[in-house]
Amino acid sequence: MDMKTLVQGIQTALKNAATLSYVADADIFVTPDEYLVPIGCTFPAIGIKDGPIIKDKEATASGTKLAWDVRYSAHVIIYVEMTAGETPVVGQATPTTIKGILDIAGDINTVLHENYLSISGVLDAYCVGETESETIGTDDMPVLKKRLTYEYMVLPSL
Amino acid sequence: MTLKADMTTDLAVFFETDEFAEAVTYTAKGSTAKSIEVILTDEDPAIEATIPPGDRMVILAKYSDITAPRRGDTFTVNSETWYVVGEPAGGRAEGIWHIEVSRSARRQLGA
Repeated sequence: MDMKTLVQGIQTALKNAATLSYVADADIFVTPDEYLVPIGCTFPAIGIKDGPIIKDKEATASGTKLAWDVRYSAHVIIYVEMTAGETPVVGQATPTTIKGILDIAGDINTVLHENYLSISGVLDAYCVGETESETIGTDDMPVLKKRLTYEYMVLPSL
Repeated sequence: MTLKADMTTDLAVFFETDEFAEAVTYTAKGSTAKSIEVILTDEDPAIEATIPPGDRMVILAKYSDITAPRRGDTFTVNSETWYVVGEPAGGRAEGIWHIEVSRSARRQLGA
């Protein structure tokens, strides 16, 4: 288990999720910074960024082997276009269905909650926090952003 | 014939590779690429440079060639990819789109 495997596993899971079919595969990307998006990106979009790794020594086993509690964090960032009214936040049902940022957060949770991504050693996977929605972007492209942080626990012997 | 129709017809004179235009490849997101004639201009219309400087420029394209340009579309100019950014101006009434494009790979959204 390493961070690269985790980030790419999340990206694959989100791209393959039927519940997120309204987000183009090209708009689900790994990003070096949550305020950077690919120039050709359309919205809604989802960025994935590596987070911190916390390692706690749990117990000393025989010899030099130690049991560790290692928690990998990964951020999933949602970007939606800042359209008029309440739509960017809560979406709309008619005349056409548009997902708001809270709808998308729910759909991502459906995909990633308790999803071990078929990565060997992962024992737990859940969302540990969500930021409030935040307006970012430029005058010609205002965007609403929200970050979800997922934690993946492994218990390796190092 | 109306003035509007006259102007649209006259666009063919300007959008000619022997005159002001250049043949480029336009790819609408999710569609197949096609070759069209466009006019490359500067981001700032006050600058009359013949070569668009920097990472951004404005592409003038005929409405008859591009019905609805949008973010995610690309132009290939001299083997280099330029991405549509911002909201294109102009359109049907004018007969021409003014499309801002960038060749930067990423876009900064603040902070």
